[in-house]
Amino acid sequence: MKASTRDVGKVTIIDLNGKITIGKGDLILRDAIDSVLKEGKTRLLLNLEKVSYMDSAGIGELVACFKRVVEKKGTLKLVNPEGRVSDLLALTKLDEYFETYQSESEALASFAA
Amino acid sequence: MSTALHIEMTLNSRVDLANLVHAASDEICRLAGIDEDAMLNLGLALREATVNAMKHGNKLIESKPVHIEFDLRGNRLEISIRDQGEGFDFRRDVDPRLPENLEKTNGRGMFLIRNFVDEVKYSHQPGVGTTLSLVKRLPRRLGRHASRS
Repeated sequence: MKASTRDVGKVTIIDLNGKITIGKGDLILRDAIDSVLKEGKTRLLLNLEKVSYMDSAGIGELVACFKRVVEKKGTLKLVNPEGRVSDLLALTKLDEYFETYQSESEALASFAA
Repeated sequence: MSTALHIEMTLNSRVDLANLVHAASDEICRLAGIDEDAMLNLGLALREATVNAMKHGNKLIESKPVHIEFDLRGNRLEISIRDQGEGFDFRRDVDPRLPENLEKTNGRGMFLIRNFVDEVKYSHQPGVGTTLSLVKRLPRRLGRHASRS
């Protein structure tokens, strides 16, 4: 999996591409979040559009990242979960735990509210 | 009834090897004529069971093997995953969807397994290890190998 970041206004968008699975994708996600937190960025939007797959370790890392961001008084939201990822979030009821949006513009607007 | 397809794999307890097991599962599902959606579900269930066996069964001691058998017989694909662990409380069924569990960062593996296969069986033999078996029933019309048995 690959992760890249871009800033749009006061929001940092983390674009993920690949699979969030144990031993690699979960670690890349953890590093990406820790890296932006170290820079003092706390309004974070995780773009899942190009994430094809997650396992339970990936799901657990998503939750762990959310908690670390909240500890830093920040906000982590999700955008564009597709197909299998969306199904897994719904199955585990994490779609109710994470603030999730279907488009980037809608998600960005929510930070301004 | 004869066995249409039987494949065995033995792996070190390295979680990155779960990718290899997942790939094998996908290929076997294609051979069995299992549709894409069921293939993804079974692959995820097997990945979870394999990682559990390595982590919780073999305590990530690399030299301890995890043995996996795929057995396609009639309209049924059974995958067994055996580790050298002390077993676990298979009947303990924690629901990760409960509000008090949503924030937990682990404990979803067995839930996903139970959701994605038709049957889960557990056995433990002291001194030998633990076996988890995942059973997927196949629609008869889809099983290329099934039709031969």
